[in-house]
Amino acid sequence: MDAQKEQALLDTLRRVFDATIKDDFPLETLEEFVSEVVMGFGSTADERILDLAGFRKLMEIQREQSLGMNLRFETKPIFKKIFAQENAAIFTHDFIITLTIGETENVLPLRFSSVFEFNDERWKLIHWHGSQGVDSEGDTWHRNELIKKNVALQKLVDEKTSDLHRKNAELESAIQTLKETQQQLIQQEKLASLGQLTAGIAHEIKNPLNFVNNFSELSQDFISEIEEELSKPVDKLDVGNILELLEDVKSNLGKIRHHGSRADSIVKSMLMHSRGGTGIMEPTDLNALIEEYSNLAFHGMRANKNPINVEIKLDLDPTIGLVSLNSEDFSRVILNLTKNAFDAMRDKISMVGSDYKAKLEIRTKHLPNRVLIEVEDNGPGIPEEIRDKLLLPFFTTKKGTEGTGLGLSITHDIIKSHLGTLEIESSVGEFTRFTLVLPNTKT
Amino acid sequence: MKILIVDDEQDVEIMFLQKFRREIKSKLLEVEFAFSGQQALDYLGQSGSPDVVYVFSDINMPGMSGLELLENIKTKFPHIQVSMISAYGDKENYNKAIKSGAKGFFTKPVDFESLKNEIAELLTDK
Repeated sequence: MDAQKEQALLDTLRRVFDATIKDDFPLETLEEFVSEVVMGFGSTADERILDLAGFRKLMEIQREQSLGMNLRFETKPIFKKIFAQENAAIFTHDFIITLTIGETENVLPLRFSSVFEFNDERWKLIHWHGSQGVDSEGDTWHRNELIKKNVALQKLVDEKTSDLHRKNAELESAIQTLKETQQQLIQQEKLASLGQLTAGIAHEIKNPLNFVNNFSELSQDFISEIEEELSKPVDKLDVGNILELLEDVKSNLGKIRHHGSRADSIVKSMLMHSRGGTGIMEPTDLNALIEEYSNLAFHGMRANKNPINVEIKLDLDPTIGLVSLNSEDFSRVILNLTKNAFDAMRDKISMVGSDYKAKLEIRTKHLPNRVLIEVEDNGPGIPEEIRDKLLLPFFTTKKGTEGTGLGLSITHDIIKSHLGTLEIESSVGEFTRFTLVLPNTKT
Repeated sequence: MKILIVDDEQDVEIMFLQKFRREIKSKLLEVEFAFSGQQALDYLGQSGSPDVVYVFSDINMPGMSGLELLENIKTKFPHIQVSMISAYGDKENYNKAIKSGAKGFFTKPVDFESLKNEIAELLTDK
């Protein structure tokens, strides 16, 4: 075959490949190199082509389906034969298409056979066949190929499964670490709140001890006075005075006892906080708990940095009776809420000045089968947009290292563990009210 | 001679009454009590009691603190002496109190001997 004719054949072959793949190929030129009676088969039912129109349609469909994909191809000749006095040619190629969809590359290895006819000084495609090639020659039913594929698939599945197992184990260990960290954080938060309480506790122990010391000293003085009186001659005895002094001594012993047990209970609750309490729900005098812990929080605040003046108003409903509580946990709820209120009101003082009178109110109220607790401050209020974030762990409005963002989240957890609810109402510049409702079946 | 003690702990009243039992009995001293800063101001504001010459006040009380009460008294009744009694003997409180015109600063537990001396001075000055 002369070189010009051979070049024309190769160009025609090239145009067939390009028409199949390149989306900018001018399809209107198809008739220049594809016969009117072209016939061809692909691997799907719609790829059964009986004329040029059908061929064009197939190209258009392919073009439509390849939208959004990036197509590349390469060809490797496998077989070539020229026959019919150099007026016909048959080729077989590996026609390897790489489709890129998004980030993923897929390789489609096709085998493509084509027959060309030379008529009127022009090569045209007259017949073609395309299908997915196999590696195993002489395997008509693709049995070996299928087995190979199955093995490869199984291998892939095994790999992915072991990958999943490994990832699962990693995730589990990560969750475990997270849980441990969470426990540590809760413990740290507990210790931090104990630290803030230390000054309050010191005050609360010093006060009763002050009374114990003074009342016992006074009693000693009174007894000396009685002895002095008794040493007088009988007719000069002031029995009235003696009885009065004895009455005082008696009352003082009662005071000593009272303040002694007050100090004792403070130490007990401090130990409870540092050691962790019994963790048991017990019928608890909720009103007394609120009195004790709001007072501790107050003295803690007063003894810490930037103390503020606060009026504390307790409005406690005596009919609530004993409420089933884990008192260690629940006392933290009172501490956290009162501490937050103090912090918020301190901010308001620095914003609006000393004309503002900070006021904290804590109320309890008996409801049918429930008890209501309200902690309300007249601080700066909480803007609407952060109100629903307040209970999230690590959310804090405090600067730098002042808050861990765990106080309210832990408070909420404790309330939930008591099967209670927590609601927040606030009006910016006016008030913030935390409303807790706990079940209270024992009345 | 009348003094006013301000403390939110109610037993402080009984303690003072007993400590100054003899002085009260012999009418050398009259002791009044208020359980909050506001109550103290209300009492001092009453027309019938301008005769209080000395106020002893706790610092850490709910509502008006002792230091605030001190400022109030010094503004409205500059002739009345005020001393603070606090569980916290820290410098900050002490400096604030003295700057605001407090005469003395006693830390809890109160040493009644020094308190008695302070009052005895008053009694002899009179």
